[in-house]
Amino acid sequence: MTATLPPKAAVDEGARRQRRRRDDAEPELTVSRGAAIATLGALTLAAVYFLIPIWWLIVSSTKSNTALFNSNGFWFSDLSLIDNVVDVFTRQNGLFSRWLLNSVLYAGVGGILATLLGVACGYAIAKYEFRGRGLLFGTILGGLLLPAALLTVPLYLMFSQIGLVNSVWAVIIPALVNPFAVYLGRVYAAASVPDELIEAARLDGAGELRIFFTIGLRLMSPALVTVFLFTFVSIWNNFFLPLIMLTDQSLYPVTLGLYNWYTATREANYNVVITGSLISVIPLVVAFLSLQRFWRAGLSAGSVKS
Amino acid sequence: MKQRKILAGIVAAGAVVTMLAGCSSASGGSDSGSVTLGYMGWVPKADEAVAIWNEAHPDIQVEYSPVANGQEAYPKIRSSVQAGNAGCLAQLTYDQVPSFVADGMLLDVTDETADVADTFLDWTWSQVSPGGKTYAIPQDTGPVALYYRADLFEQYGIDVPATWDDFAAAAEQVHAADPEVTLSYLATDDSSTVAAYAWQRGASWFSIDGDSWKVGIDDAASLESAEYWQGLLDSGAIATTKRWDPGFYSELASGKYLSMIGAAWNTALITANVGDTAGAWRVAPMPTDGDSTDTANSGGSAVAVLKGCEHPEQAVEFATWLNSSEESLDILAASDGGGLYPAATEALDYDVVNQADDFFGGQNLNEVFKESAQNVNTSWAWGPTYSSTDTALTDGLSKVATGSSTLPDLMGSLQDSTLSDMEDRGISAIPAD
Amino acid sequence: MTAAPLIDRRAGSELRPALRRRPTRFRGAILMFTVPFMALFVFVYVAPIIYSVVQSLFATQSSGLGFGEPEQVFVGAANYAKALGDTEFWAALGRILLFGIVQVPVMLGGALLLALLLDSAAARWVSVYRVLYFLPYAVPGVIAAVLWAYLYSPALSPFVAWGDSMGIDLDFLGPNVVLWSMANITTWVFMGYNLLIILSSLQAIPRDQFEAARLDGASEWRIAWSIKVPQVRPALVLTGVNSIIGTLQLFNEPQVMHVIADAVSSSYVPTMLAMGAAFVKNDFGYASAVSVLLAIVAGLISIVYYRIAMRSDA
Repeated sequence: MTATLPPKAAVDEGARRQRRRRDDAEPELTVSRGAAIATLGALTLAAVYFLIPIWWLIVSSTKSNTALFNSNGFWFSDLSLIDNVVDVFTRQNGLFSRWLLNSVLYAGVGGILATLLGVACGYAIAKYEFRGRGLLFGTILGGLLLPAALLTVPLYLMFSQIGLVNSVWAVIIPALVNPFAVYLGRVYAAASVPDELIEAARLDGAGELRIFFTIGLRLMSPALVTVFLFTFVSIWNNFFLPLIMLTDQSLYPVTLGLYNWYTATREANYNVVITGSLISVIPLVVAFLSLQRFWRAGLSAGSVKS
Repeated sequence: MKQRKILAGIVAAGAVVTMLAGCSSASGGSDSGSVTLGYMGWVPKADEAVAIWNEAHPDIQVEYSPVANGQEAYPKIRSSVQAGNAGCLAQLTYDQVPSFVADGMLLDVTDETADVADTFLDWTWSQVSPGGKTYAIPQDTGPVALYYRADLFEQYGIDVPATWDDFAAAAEQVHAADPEVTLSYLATDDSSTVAAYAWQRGASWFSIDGDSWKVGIDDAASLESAEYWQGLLDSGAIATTKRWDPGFYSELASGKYLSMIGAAWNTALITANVGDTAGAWRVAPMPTDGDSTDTANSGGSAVAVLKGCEHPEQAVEFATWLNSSEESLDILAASDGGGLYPAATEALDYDVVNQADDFFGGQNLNEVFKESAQNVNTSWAWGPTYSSTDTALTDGLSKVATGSSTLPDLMGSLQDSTLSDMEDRGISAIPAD
Repeated sequence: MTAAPLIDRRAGSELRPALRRRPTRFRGAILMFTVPFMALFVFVYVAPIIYSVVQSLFATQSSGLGFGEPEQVFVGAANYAKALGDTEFWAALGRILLFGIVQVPVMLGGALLLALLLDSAAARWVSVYRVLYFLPYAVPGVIAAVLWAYLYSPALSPFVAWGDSMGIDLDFLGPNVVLWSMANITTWVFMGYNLLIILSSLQAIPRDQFEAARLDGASEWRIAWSIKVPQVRPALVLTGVNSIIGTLQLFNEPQVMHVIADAVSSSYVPTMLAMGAAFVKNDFGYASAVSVLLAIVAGLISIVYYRIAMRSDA
């Protein structure tokens, strides 16, 4: 199991830095003009593929419902962006802002707790000798191989029996368990928390908890941020779990809320769904762009989808 | 340094959201001594009616939670009942009532409703009383009629079809004149209309014979209806569409379809979504087979009392008020409020229902719908596994649209799957033939 | 799936006595660090599996007209037999397998190719391209599906409109096309993400290996194929396993496309089939049986893929 994941997170970090210098400098060897043009052409073509839907989303969010059908999809027509945004935020007594807030709440709280729980477990596996350690780690990584969606219906039944369904907890509790956090916690603890430092702290009389919180977490902070970011994203993006667990619309995260509008069949409300989608994407795009160096470090350590 | 700042930020943000969580879970308490009823539904302005009720009844407070309509709503309602936090009332279309009863999700309120039965049309009352016990209060009905574009009918030189033969001839005529345009459509995501076509011709999909069900989804009348529509599809005179895809309204507005065979609740949807065509629409009676004046019902809902409701008496009182009082129906039956066509007998003469409508060129639609409602073949019943059948019907219609099945074949396979579903559940059932 | 029950058995019989004989240092701390996570892990991962398995052995039964209180009856393997004899189950499973066999290699192949191009000496503005490719990952899966659904919908799609003006009849929702339209959505969202994992791995390869090869006269393509690709195999295995797991729980795309496409039935993929069984047919036993079968398929495929990918390494 362990071997499926590239085992050299720390090494990658160094390589990455080295590489960045190379990006900016002139390449070491001369490349033929044709090869350069072909390469850039292919890269640009791929970029167009990735950007077209986003461009369409931006353009469309500025259009009224009628214009959506009557104008060129890739260029601006009437400018109804303000109307659309107002419509998104005032519909159903302003439920949309509540949905955004819920998403922040679920992803934020879930992300923080999942990070702490997972990294603490990974730290223990890296820094303490105990029987069953390998089995424990293997079991947790086994969790990565399980399609989580399959657990959702039984989880729903369990939660309904203990009265957790249709509550904040129904969405947060399952998100707290992130096997990837354990994996990354273990890798980072092994690489960046020296045993000597722990021993020294013990000699100074510090307790294990205190060592973890004052030394361990501090040295592992890049791991914490990475794990937090990716857990945040996976909770923010989750759809199946809240779809099954939540009935009360005021508890919906923004993904489920927008899906609800998308399937609302009493009216043609494309403009609202489209503009709402754009708004819901902005926070994550901003977060990703501004925190680039963190998630890239995480990716190189072998992160996982969902 | 920077990392620590980010970390501190995350922790601070965490503290804020934790507080928010605390706030949200603390709300929702109610005054002592009063009763609170949860109510889930999808009538657009039900919240306004609920507000009026709550104002007048401080001791019976209703909490309305809107759910997406129909097929999207049922899983939510089911899961809430399963979880035991559904509140008291939920909107169900009539076809779903027996399935919900069979799944143990509804509460028997026969005693509580004994003196309100007469308030509602008889056949709606039997729809909410499968097996002789009552589980819901009828809300609205869906008497079917023909909505059509008077301007386009004139343009293509079409008379309003009175019979299905006229309808087929008109469909061919329109198709010949312009292949891009059709007289009407078959909606692959609206099983209730397909059921209504069979219903009108006297089909009996489910009936009770002693202690056993008789299932006749492929009976002669159903097959006759299936073959009629398959013929129109095969010749291209009728198109298929997804009428619950919002794109449908752009098709409707563009004049791609000259008419729509639909239940009364479509009035509000047409008015709200194809505003550009105001004044051009009219409503005529549903075409018939020429020999009888029978019509059919498509959709329409009841407000069901859910298992786990602790205050069934109050729930019935509220639901009865909601579905029959002029105070409430002034909102729910108005075309900007849901355009319900009430199931309460007296309500058909309320002003909100019985008035001229400018969108339809000043026509009083009630004249058509009231007659249609009176001509609905009232012996129709739905079976205890119809929620499965309905899903299979919708999936099957999609196969018809993509050409991998035909309507008559679909009726045969639905008959088989329904019988085997019932057998699997230990319900006794035999084919009607 | 297989590892989970193991720990229960061992912890009960073997592990405890061993610990008592040779007490571990810092036992309290170890428990404090691992127990919160493990408790939740058992609650959220292990318990639902056991619950599913138990649930899958029961069925809801009524009698007569079916309006009496339904009860749960033990039916043994009947739900599994029903699933294995259900054409819808096989059709749904077949669809995701077909989807996976085509989409995963296309996506990973594309990601590998782009990563190699970005890593090549001819590339410029690498960091810009990298961010652009990654951008779709920030779009939640269901929103991406809605977005593309609009781009496919005949009423709204600029592509269909463009096709019409050129006299080409584009249909993204046809029965033979719609699966690939969905594959495109998944590819769009995850290709950049996988690309970055592969790229990180590429960039960790010491550069002097390439210099040596170049001195020997190897072409850039030759270097890419013989030196770079073998060294990023672990990244490919990782992204491959992730993608396979993702494919098996495919849900967002078909659920969204179901609204607009006739070709997408309510049981198009196993997750939709299980959800429909649970929340439309109230048949939780059948839903659980489908989930368990799918988990077994997931385990088998992951193991087989892992074996194949790692064996050829030798």
